[in-house]
Amino acid sequence: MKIPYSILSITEKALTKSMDVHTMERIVKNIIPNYNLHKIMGFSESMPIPNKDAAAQIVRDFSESKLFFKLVHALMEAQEYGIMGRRYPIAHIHEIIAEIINLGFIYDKNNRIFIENSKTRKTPNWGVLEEDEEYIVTLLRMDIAANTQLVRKYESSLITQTYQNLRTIVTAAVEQRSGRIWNWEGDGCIAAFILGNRNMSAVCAAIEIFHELFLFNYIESQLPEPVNIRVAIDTGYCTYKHSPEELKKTELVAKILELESRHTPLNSITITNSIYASLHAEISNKFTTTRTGNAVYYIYTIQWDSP
Amino acid sequence: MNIIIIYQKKNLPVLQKAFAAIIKSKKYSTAFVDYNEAKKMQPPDKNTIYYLDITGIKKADVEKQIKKFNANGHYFAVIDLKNSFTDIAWFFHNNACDYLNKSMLTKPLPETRMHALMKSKGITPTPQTSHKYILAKDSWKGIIPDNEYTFCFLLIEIQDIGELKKHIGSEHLNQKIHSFRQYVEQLLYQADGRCWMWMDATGLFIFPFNGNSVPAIYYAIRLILNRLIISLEHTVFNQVIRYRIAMHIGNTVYQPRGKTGTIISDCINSLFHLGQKYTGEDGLFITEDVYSFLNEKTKKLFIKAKPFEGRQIYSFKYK
Repeated sequence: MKIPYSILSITEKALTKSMDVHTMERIVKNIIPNYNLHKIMGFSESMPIPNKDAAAQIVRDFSESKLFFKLVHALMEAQEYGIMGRRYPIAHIHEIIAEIINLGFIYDKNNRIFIENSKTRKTPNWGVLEEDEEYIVTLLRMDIAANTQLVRKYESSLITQTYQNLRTIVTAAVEQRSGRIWNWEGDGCIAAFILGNRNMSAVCAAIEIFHELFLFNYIESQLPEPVNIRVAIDTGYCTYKHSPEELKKTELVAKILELESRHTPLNSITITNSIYASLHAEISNKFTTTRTGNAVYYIYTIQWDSP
Repeated sequence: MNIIIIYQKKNLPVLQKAFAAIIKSKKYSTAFVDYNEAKKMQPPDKNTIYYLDITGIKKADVEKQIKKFNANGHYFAVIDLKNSFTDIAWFFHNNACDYLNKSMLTKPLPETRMHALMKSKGITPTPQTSHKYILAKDSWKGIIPDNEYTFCFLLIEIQDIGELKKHIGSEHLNQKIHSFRQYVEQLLYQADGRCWMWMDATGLFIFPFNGNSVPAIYYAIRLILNRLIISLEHTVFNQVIRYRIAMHIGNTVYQPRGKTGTIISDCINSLFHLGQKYTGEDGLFITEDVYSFLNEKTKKLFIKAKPFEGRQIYSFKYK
């Protein structure tokens, strides 16, 4: 994304007015450890760089390397928490933030990052995840059980309509919790959560999908039989890829596909230990423990009174 | 409204039992109104007999009430569970049309007594479940204050308020209730529901009835199914709450929110009883009036529960 000149210009002013070149370098090296301002600008190490020129160079480099928001975040941290024990009041910081918000981003306090405002747009990387960068992500995998049989058995228009409704249910549950659908294939999807309490968000989304699907099957669906699903949730480091095909090859995605296909009973949600441990007690109580070899999983199923 | 029983709180169970057969007969529309609330109410019409529970009330106050009934030309009867008034004839000299004391209320009052009373006063009975639906044209757009309409009523009450208060304190509890209320209001708005009254931890929502279905039922089911999620995601302080939902279809005069204090309605009355007195459990409870408008698939989600105040109740099967 191209950062408008007005924001770059205020940021340049903010750096110039708020700190010396040495502090600028310190902030920048926290983001790009091998950043060498003197070398980039052609100054020898012993020569002082004018404040204004240094600020202009840094801002230019960061806007080109797509790390501009990280620079702004570093300035916010310098003002709020300080660098090496000293706080730096940053001139124009509120103007910079206001301009970024005008661009369609919001500041996520939990993760301390700017992310796209979902009211303005929704992209799979929240507008900030970088290709090939590693992030801690919680993944939710949903699969429609016996998809092939359903497709063969019923008219394609009926199947299309049914799956479209299911897609609406899943998307609403995921995006309501600031999650993103990373990949949707005919018989299932992978959704990602990175913001806030991402494990709880993923589990709540899954439970809601389950409940909505139950109502859909019972009340709205035109299919003579219910649509059954399996949901699995896991968390861990994941290398972000723009391409869904490339994403599938990542370790976490491969792991969740296996968890769903091999360890998830029909119409259930299976979660791993790391997800289970981070849940609110009242939610985790709904899950029952199951062991497969050395692995422990937790499963949630809806319960009904018998008439 | 044919019969309005103005009760003292502690006597309500005795009076409910006493009038049970009359309510069950469904020949007369009946309502119970708290003595303190009754002071604020305006009479709905003159086709009504007021049963005034005078147990434990000072003579001067009783005389004042009776004077008021006479001034308005309303029929009234007296209930005296402690036999504290010896001069019973005085009531009749002042136009009372019936008198009941404790010994007369040990068994349910026969319906014939009411029939004779209504006949002698020329009151036309308006059956409780006459199914005379008054449908508003174009939902809320067609609803005009002071007019009577059929609504689907949904009462929601947060339970264990005392326990919650102990855990999070009264200020945080208020914030929690507020956030819950906001969520429920937003959710039920999607089903054309409006919050009509909200008192402490209890809310009454109304939905204009369309005469053939109850779309609000699916939102009520969602509220029950997603209770944990709603508690943790949409209310503050990470504390799970329990709540009970009661639903009913009936007629009432519509007044805008905040101006509902003078409304006397049998269905609102019985809905509050169903929501607050029927059971201590959380869940979704609907009257037969709501159940009858559910489609066959949705009906299967409910099980027959014990009847209450002459109505068959159904409860949602989710645990």
